[in-house]
Amino acid sequence: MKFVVTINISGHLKDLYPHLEAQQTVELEQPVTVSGLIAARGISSKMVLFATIDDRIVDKQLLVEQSCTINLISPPAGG
Amino acid sequence: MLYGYAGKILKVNLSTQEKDIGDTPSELVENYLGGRGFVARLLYDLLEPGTDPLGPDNVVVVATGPLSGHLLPGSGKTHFGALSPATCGYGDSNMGGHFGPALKYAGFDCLILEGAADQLSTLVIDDDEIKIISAGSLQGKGAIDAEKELKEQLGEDFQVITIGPAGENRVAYACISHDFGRQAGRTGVAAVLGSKNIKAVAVRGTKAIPLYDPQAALKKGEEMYRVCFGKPGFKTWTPYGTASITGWANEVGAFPTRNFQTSYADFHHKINGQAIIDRLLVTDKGCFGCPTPCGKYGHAKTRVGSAFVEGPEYESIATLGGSCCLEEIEEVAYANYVCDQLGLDTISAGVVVSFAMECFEKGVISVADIGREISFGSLEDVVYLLEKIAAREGIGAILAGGVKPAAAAFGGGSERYAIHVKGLEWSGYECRNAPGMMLSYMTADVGAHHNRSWALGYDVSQSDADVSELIEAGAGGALEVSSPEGKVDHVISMQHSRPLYDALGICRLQTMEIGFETFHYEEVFELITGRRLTWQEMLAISERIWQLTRQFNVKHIAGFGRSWDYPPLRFMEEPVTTGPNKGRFLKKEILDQMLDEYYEKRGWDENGIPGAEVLARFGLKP
Ligand code: SF4
Repeated sequence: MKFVVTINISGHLKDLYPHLEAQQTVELEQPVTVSGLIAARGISSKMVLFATIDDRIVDKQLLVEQSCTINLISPPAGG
Repeated sequence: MLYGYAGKILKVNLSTQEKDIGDTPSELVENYLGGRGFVARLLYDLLEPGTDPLGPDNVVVVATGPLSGHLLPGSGKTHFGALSPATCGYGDSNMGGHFGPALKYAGFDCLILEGAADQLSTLVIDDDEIKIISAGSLQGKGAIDAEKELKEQLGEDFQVITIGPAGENRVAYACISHDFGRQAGRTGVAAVLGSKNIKAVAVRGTKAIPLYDPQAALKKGEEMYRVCFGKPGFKTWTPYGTASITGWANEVGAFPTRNFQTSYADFHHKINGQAIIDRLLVTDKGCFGCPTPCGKYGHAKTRVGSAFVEGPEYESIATLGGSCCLEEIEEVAYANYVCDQLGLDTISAGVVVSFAMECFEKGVISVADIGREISFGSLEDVVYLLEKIAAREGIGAILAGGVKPAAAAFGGGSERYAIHVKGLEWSGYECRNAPGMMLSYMTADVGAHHNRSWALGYDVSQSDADVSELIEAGAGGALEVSSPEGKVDHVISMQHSRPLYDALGICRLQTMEIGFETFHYEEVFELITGRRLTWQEMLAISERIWQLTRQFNVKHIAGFGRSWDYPPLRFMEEPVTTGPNKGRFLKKEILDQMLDEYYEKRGWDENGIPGAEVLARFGLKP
């Protein structure tokens, strides 16, 4: 089964990974965890402070669900 | 007509009480934008080499930016500057709140204070009515108490900045206080105000600022708020504010702990953003026009005392919590409150106190020197030292100069753990495994401050080890050393982008933290000022300011050059003692390699002195 999810990257993740769009819709071949998704995008897991789905902070081991929107939030950039 | 600016500069000679109001020069606007740009250029022009930072010939410049005071996100910023008593070089500090907008509504882009009043005074600016009144009744009062008293006396609609006893006593890292918890903390501008006998400045402004296209600017401002509210990071940033980085800073081994002996505090979960929410928070608090209020106003109850306090934000958590080892959030908040009342920068104060604690622990200073035993983790000892420093009493008289002169006075090898660059104490990021961040601190114009470039994320994003797993496995030493390659370009780019917000007079956190796009600022800047500048063109102005502040240091600091850009020996020779970066340090050869590349890319010689060619390119003179 194919999964389609939308990923928003936030804060200074956009500066650190300039090749990534602020919002991307990706198709996955099989269920993956939030962590797996972050790694697949080439983002260092250390640079994702929070992942949120529906405005709720989620565990990075959570399996992503079909059609969800995941926000990846970077740590504050030093105030 | 200058759209977007108030169009006037107010100069007050405190010795003669003369007030001079002149037009804001179009050359200044064109080449320096405002805020930090105005501060840097005016200080450069007004100060002669050999000026005593605490003498009447120093000047204080307070400047707003072209975007300050307008209806758009984060437009409440004000910039302060002077020849710094901490570094004897370029000094400035940025502050949120409401003061800058009020100054602009009173008709002034900029305020310049020269000379010195003959008694402790308050400068009152009530639109065109400008007067100097006695502040005798405020002498020795806490900065927050003094603000409250002045608002009661003058009216709630005045915006007030004050200094505390530390500023009156010219402590090199005294801070300016405003809005009961906002500070212009760094580089000791408040000590310069103290040397001028200025306890406070109160401003009330009721004038309009001319806009190029008022209707379109209003519409654009509204759109900017809507965009901020819709950003994915909006809902997680505001509840925690900067304190949300505490856990992360520990996980990546960047949390200054025990006077930077190590970079990981096992008690960090007790002093993080969640601890603030659970144990302190009363309400969120923001600056003028802010859609993302990061201030956390709360109440702290400890065995030493209790208080309402804004904060602690991350830097105060790092220096008072991590570096002094205060292990409970209430203790950190209370120490923060004591600093705020005394008018001490929490960053420098925390580092100075932790330095004294290590000196005592290592036998460099004794009970006879201090007046009692002191130890890491004791709130009583932190408060004792803060009060001694602000009053310049006993050991406080030595510590009031900062860690650099204190180490020179104490001797015993203590300069190794006097954590500063150029005389300014290090802020909240330990970087013995973060070369980009280390270079950021080394080359910042004001000394060891993260505000100019925060390259830690770049350092961390380039290292692949999963730090959480390393911590769990107790295998901290296995974390690979971040490579210095590619860091220089990133640091230079950040040194232009972050300070640009300080020149425009706006908060950068909407962009840095929630991803607000910079093209909005280009658009609103044009609608407000009528001037079309791309972000790249604005960055080129920021680069001009950078070259100017370097040249300022060359002009004012005898023998200035490469040797002023090194971190303390601890960071070059002593391995981190615990945590994920255990065993790491950055050898001097690596730092020299980065400095060589940095100087070359900046157009400076091998001693870090700007060359004639680069100065000419930016219209500056050697
Ligand atoms: S994000 Fe924080 S510092 Fe910036 S304007 Fe808002 S309250 Fe002030």
